[in-house]
Amino acid sequence: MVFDMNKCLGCQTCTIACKTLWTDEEGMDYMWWNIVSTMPGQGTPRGWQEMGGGFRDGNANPSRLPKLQEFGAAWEFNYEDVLYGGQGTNQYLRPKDGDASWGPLWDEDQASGDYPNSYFFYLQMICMHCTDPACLAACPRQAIYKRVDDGIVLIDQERCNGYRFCMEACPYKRIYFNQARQVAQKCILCYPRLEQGVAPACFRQCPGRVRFIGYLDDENSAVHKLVNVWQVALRLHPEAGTQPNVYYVPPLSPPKFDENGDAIEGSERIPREYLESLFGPDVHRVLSVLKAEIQKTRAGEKSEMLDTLIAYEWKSMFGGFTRDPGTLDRSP
Amino acid sequence: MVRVKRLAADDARLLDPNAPEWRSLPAESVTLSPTPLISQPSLYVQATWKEKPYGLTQQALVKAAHNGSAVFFHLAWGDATKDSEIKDTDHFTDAAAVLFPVKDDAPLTSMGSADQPVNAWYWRPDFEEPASITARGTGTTVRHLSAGLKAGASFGDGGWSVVISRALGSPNGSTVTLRPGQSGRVAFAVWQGSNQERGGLKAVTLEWQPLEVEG
Repeated sequence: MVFDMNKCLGCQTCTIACKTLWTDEEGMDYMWWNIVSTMPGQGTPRGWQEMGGGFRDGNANPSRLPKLQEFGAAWEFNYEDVLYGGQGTNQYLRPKDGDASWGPLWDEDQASGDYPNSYFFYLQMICMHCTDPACLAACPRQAIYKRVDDGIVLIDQERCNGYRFCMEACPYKRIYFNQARQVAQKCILCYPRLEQGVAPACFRQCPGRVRFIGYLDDENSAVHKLVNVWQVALRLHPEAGTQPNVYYVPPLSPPKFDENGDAIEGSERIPREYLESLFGPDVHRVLSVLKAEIQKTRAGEKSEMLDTLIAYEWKSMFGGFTRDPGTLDRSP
Repeated sequence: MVRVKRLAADDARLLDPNAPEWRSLPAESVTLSPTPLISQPSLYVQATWKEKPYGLTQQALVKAAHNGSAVFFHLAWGDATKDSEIKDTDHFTDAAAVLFPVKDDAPLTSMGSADQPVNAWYWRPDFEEPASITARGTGTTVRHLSAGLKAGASFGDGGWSVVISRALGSPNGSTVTLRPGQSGRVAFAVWQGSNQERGGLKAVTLEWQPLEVEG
């Protein structure tokens, strides 16, 4: 999978697509199998990047379980008091019991830097369906498996006993605990859709044309070209050692303004060190390649790379998984 | 030695850990130790709990009785906090279990083996009834609900008192047979939820205890 961070508007259509499709059942209200976080920012669960997990020097790297509050629990509101409490306008709608101290998108669009040179970008997160998943290795009862045909990593809902070692071990903290059913749950890459030739909901519903999917060894696919041929898509926190299968095209920056309000040519607002801390030192090469391709097109030349990223042909993003879900037989 | 004394009392009475019938029985003090870290099947667990103490419960007081139709194990152990339901994503409940070899010769610390299964009666304060669990080695446990297990529990005086019970005989092929006059083996385990103990992170009797069911 490849996410082009240059095109994401943070509209969260992907987030709601997943939520309405999968995580609208009991015990799932705080779950965001897909989420788009503003970076720099704490993400969800807050501070996940400092929690550990994954592998270090080939060994399991200890971590901890985040609390519900750190994920950003779904708030309970005082509807009864407002609507039936008989206090008229003396009572206003608000979260109960001081619930509102953190939410999964609490620092959305907060940005970093100093005006007028503020900066932020969006980081799209789903389960990475890693090639060497730390979650799978951590489970003492092999309740997590990676499908041979398509590499999708799944938690066996019958086998899971809710020990949650997987939740600790994931360096991206993409696993949630269903308190009602007492099992761990996470993004399933919409495998029932993929099995029918339909792209996952978050990919297909993205209006920004951010998300590419396909088999990496399918030489006709956009993902193959972006990851293997042009190599402009990078892993997030590759040092965690799990070999994630979601790759990111890193974000270019607008230029900085000087004291007179003039753009400083060639400058970048997003600090390179910050991008390097996310994607590794290869990010510098990739940004140079992207800038060079943009220069090419401004000089009137063609760029197959930019055409692929722009995705004029929407279906070209999905590596063959182009079936319309409306054609599925969804009889009860 | 755990002696299952025959008592003339009905099931409802014996399921109450505070029933006077239990007070008349002497308790067997059983030493509990953390399951060895090296036996944890997950390298993540081994790495994370290397420096963290677990299996904090050092002792349990065990009494056992039967009334001719069902057998009852009364376990009491100290726990500073009552963790009776999962309150957060990082929270676990207290728990306890009674373990038997399905046939006489099953290894204990590996939770049985491929051809030597073990059967546990696993109590959780948030389960409606205890689960019957069979295992053929660590990490292979299978839970069966509706196995006819019953429990009564009370928390007070700095700890839990729990009675776990099942019908005598052998109600099901994959579970242990218990009959009056029979001798066998039994082991115990306790989990402290407040210490995030779950799965293999528990306090156990490291050796089988002899079990005798009074005739």
